[in-house]
Amino acid sequence: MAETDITYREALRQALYDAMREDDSIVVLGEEVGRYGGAYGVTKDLIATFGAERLIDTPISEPAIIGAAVGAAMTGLRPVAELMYVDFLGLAMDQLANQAAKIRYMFGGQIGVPMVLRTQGGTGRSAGAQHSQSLEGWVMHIPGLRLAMPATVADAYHLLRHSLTLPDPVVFIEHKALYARKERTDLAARVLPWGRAAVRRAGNDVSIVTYSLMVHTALDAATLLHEAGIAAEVIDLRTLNPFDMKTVRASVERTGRAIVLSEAPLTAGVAAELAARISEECFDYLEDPVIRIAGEDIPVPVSPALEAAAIPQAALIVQTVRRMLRR
Amino acid sequence: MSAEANLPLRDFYCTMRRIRTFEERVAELYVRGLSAGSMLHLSIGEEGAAAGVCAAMRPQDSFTTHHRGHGIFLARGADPNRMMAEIAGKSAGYCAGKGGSMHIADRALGHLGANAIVGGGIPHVVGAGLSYKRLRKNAVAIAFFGDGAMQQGIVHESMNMAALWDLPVMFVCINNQYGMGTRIDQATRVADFAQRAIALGLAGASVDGEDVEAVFARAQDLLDGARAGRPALLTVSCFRFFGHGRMDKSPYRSNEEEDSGRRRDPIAAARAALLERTPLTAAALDALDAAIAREMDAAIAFAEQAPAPALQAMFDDVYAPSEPQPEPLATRLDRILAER
Amino acid sequence: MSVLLTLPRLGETMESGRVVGWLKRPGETFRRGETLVEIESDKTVVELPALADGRLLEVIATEGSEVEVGAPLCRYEAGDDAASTPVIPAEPATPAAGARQRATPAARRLARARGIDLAAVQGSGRRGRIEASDLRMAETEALAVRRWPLSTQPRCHALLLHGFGGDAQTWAPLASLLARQGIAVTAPDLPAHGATALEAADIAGLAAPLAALLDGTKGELIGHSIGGAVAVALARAHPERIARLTLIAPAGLDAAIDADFIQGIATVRNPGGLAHLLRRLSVRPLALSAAQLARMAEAFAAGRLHALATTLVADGRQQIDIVADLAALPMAVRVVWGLEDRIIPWTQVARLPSPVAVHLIANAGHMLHWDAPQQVAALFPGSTRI
Repeated sequence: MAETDITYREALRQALYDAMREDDSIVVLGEEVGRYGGAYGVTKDLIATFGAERLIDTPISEPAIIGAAVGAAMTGLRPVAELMYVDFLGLAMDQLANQAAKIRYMFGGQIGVPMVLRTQGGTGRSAGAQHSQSLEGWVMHIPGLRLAMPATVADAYHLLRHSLTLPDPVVFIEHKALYARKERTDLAARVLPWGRAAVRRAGNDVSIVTYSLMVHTALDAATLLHEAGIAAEVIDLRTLNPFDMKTVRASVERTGRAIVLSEAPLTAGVAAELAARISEECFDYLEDPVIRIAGEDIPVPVSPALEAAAIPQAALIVQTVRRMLRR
Repeated sequence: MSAEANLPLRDFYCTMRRIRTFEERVAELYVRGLSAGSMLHLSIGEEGAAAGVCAAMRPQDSFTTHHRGHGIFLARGADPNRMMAEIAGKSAGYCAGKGGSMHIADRALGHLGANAIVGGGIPHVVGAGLSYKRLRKNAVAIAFFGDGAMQQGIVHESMNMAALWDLPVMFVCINNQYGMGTRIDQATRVADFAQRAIALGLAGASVDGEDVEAVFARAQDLLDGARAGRPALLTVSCFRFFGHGRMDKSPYRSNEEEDSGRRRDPIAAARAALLERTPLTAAALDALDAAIAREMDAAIAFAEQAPAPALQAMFDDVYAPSEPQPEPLATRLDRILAER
Repeated sequence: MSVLLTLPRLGETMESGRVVGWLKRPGETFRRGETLVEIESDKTVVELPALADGRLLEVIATEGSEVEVGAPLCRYEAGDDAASTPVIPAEPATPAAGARQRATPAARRLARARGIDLAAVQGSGRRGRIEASDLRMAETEALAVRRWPLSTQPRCHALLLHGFGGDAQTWAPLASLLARQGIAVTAPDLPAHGATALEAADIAGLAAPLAALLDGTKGELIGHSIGGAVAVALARAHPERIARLTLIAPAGLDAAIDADFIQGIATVRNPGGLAHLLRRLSVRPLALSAAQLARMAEAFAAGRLHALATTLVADGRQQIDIVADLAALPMAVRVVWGLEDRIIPWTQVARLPSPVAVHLIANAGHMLHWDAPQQVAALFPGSTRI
């Protein structure tokens, strides 16, 4: 297949379409996934192909949506539950963290929960404090849950396809600011396997470790740094459980400097975990403390100016790298 | 009435007696320090609900239970040895010792899991009902829970969905009058839960759990309906003879209330009916009780003698065996602190 | 009066210098003749003294920075007034006794591996922190280096790397001949050897601090035995700075070696045993006094060579292989071997890649430069321009 211009949203939709064509046990359930086509349009028109029996519009009952997906996954279906905003995890966390994540373990390996929880998070649309969060840290903190956060169009497709083959529950967090992102992509081309980080840009001066939307912010910063004669390496983790420490380690051991970049609030977040691991595992190679650049420790404000200022921008990354390297 | 026509009652009696004796032995297991943890919730007084509903279920049906679910699992046909071993945290248990009393499950018997979160397992039967409907299995998924869960939002969400989608699902509320130490009238204005079934578009019925035959009959009716796509809520009222957990001496209720509650005994009622309506003698029933006592003593001995799980097993089953596994702390420390 | 101090030309060829360290801090007073700053140029460090009494106002060229001749180093206030004005320094000039040295984890790892004392290293990083690059500088400084003086302007430079258990002094017979031919000879004591305070457990460790000894102009690189393998590693890393590589009885071509010799040197305890081992090196009688032997035996007994010996030779065989690296070198390479070599047999020349020239010398043992210094020196004729 040739490369075509395709959006992140279209790639996700194509992944669902292709997977549902191949696997009859896949059903999609959630608020507005059927006739409406998904709040962000990811499931648009799928109901025309697969019918209401496989694109199940639910009442506004987040705990029961996830809970029903858990039960369906235990009894022979492979459900894709859509949580319209990751912020609604607050409602559904028992079914995700206490049920889906623990069933295989509590029951001694007898019963698996092969479900995918598709949701989206992040800032970029002035959606306010209850519709703009980055809650991946909640998910990453729970053993038993796989976690994917695609940054590119190809990964949106392939990581979702792979999620729909896994034997364990997967939380798949899309980014609302990426849905319209268009990239020239050949969806048939192979990508790195699940669980492997991608080096999106190579460089020897500093390693920027990140995921989701911030990959693009990091790449913007790397371009600006290049003009200043500084070569930044940008690593896109792609999945946070499992996450690829091997690639991170190889990079940091080479550059001696690491920045962990995350849109989520700084404190006790994914960035903290990554920074701790880099400090532990690459200690002998570090020339500077591992630096976290993350969202401010505040709720996300609505005002576009404030919203943008609350999350890391390329200029801050450039400035930070230059201060680290003193050039 | 002929003796044959009353055989089901003998079976109910047998099931209920096995549950009660099992629970008494579980209490002993705890006293002897052999249970894994102190989270043991006994269903003595509730045997009629378990025996009656489970007798109406078919082999292909599945179910989830709450934290007070030993009786339901036994009534479904669980092996008391493996149950007792699980409660003792041994690898011979149903869940290799990782689930214990409150997280027991068995795929073969359609047990989708006991749950330690009040209401936690209820939406799972909605999902199971979706599966059975889509996969054209003639099966019903049944959620067992207590009156405490009736005040959880998830119950109403789940009942609403089951009704909305005509799922083969039955909700069974075993109303033992207490959510931990809070009596039902202190928890809700509408303690007649059948009204809530009507409000959500489910078939609803209430039955006295002291009468196991009545429980069985109502359960069978509602299960037939559920199998045909008319989900239902069955409320079985009974009395929790003992405290919430083993350490609970029930200071929140009077001796008089306990005495009268314990007179609502489904086993005593079944025994009286057997003696009255069948040729079975007291001696014969005593012999049956003694055989059950020996069976449950053997379960205790089995659990006691079963080996503890290997420590390495703690890392098993977090994920499927084919997938990346958690890194043990010791391995990580060795890696970080290695000399070379 | 505020005065700007600029970098003077401290040698004929000097165009710039590197600020090694300030001995005075802003606010401190100084007397005429006191050293203000150390400047490094042409591999020598020069102390720049104050030409008048005064008080340092501002450091313009910070430690580690490269400064052009004529560019400002600092601003100071000159005159008696300045010197007599009491100034309280903002912070102590030196870290309190027992204070832990500020160093990056990468620098600490390097220091451990090379046996460098961080207290002796000047940090150029943020807040004076020692970074890995400072360690590399310190490594060069920690090298004991011997240079053979020239009476004339040098025709070219040569860097000589000795063999296992040797030191710079072992080059003396050859080095003085080369110097007479107009070649500026530099020879370090390799890490784990002689007066050099660095340790090493492998070829990379031996080669690590040597890059700074390569002259700015392309020169000759000569390595003997293990030093040959080190020379190859150095030539691989810096091919643009080496005109020609000469290997004398190099290690790393094939498996055979007198393993007893290597293990013996690494573990020898007494002068008698040492003399017995050293006789295998040369076809000539051993020309060492009893006192020299005793000093050497005492040095070997310290065990600095253990790790290296284990890396180089195991199970009676050489554990290193330079053939692939040798084949990849862009510069001219030649090998010289004595036909009486008892440590590494000369027949290993069979493993050399074809462009490598081979010179075999009769009546010479492993220490060719002892047994036939003239014949080796003749390979570097004065008329040849390289």
